[in-house]
Amino acid sequence: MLASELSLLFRRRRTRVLLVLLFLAPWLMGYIIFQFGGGQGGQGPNFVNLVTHNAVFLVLASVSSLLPLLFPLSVSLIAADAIAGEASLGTLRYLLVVPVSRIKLLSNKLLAALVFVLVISVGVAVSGLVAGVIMFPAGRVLLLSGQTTSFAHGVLLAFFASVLVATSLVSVAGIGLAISTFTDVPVGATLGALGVVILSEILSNITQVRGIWPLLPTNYWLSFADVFRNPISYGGIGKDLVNQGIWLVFAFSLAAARFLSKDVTS
Amino acid sequence: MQTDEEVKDSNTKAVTPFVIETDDLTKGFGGRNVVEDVSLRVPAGSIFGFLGPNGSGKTTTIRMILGLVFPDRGEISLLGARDQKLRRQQLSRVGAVVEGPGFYPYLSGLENLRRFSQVAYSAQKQLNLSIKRLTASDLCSALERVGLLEARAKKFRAYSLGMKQRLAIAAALLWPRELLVLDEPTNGLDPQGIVEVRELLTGLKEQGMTIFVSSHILSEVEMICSDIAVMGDGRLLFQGSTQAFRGSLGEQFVLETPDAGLAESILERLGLAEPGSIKIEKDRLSASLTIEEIERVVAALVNGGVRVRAVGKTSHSLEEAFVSLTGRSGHAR
Repeated sequence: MLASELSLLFRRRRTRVLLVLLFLAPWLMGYIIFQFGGGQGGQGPNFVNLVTHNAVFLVLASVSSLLPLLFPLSVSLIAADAIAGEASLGTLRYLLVVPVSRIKLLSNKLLAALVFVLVISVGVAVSGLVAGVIMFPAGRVLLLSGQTTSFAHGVLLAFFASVLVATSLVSVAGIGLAISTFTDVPVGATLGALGVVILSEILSNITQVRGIWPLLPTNYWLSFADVFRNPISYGGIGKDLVNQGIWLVFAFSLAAARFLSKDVTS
Repeated sequence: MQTDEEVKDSNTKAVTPFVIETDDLTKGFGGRNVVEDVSLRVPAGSIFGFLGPNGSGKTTTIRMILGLVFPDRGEISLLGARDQKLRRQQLSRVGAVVEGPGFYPYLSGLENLRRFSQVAYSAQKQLNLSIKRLTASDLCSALERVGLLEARAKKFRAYSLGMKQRLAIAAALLWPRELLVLDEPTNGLDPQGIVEVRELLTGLKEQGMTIFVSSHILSEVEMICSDIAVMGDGRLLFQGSTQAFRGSLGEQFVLETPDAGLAESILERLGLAEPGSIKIEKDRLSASLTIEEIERVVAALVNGGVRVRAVGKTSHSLEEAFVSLTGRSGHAR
């Protein structure tokens, strides 16, 4: 069943176009930095100014620039399509009389969305590494905590970071799936899930609501950068994993409660 | 706790002659009941015509039978299974086309069938049912049966409405079924296609399949149906054999004669038509009669000296049938 879901997802032209665009992002970014230089870093972990020193940082610069908007948009698009998309095509009723159980359909849709999340974050990392090695030096890597490490170890850390980026996005996949069970209009579900992400990002900039920051799904999204410290600082990473896990369980429970009692009239 | 009646029910379950039974099925959307107290009995081995105008509650009833919509009230038994979970299990023995075809527009006909066969395979494995994994040649022969083999590699979005409808029938027949539920299967088909569907259904019935087919056009299905149920305004207005249905409807009797006035008085004398129900236009008389009455009337007219030029009958349209049925059922809204 998962194989069928994955083949449905990745055979679709829309998915492929999306992947190509995401995988091109590091090349575009690398080329701009190659032509015009890295410039001065702004606030926070900014990897753009480090890219000219080492290819590995193109991976980090790419994922950190895609994380606030384009990654959540892509994940929302796919996750929100799960049930609402089948409903709008009229295929949902046929799947259910096949007769696949509703919970099984829902779990496989979630799994497919999670695979998609992993594919985009690791895919962008691979693409970024190749582009980086072609355009920039591939020597010893300077860590954020000041030490240096071998290029091979740096590459390993970059891939670890990209997997952490994927885990940061599971909340978006879950929220998209949940909203997807409430509507037959996939675009509405996509915008709904993206809206939750944007709202969370806005709230995380308003200090008056500091109290709810730890609950926001985007709150620990930049923790993946802690991988580039020696020793790796797991505080933020751990909090992010717990946060994402809670959001995923909550969203999936909501999706299941809704979908299992839903009248399928599409 | 089981009542005596329920115990009796479960004892007779295995020998029940009905493949679909519903009791007082009721469903409302937005505070309005779209299906109300529908108690269907679909005999095994029948071609069962489920008729009614659009919006009469046919599709909602079918969706409840297939477990897509949950009833507010009432019971459903599908192939002997009443419990919701068991009913889902029984769906593996049911092929269905619900409210038009639903496929992935970006996949070809063959890829669409493959998708549904894969999902069905894994769903039925989960239910511990034995199921054959379909090969590409199985899928192709399913397409061939509905004349889509040539178009197998074409994207679904490029199919004509008739082709889409036929693909849905092919998908419903991927595995041998005991019951076929078809909601408006002739929608969008040309007359030739309608004839083909009728032939296909008759052939499937001969193989022992029960066929439950809905339509808003009586003439499309009445000639192949052994049994008929008529819905109107969410309620079941009629249920029984097609013969009984025709009998209850009556036919429009049409007579061409220069002696229309004489013919009218003979009809009235026989007590077959109430005064006023007979229409006369020039040399043409028409009246609402049953088949048996028509047989008697022709002899009486000839004996009475009426110069008969032509006698004919036209069946009532379904819309007329609904008017007469709703009138008879004694509730108006």
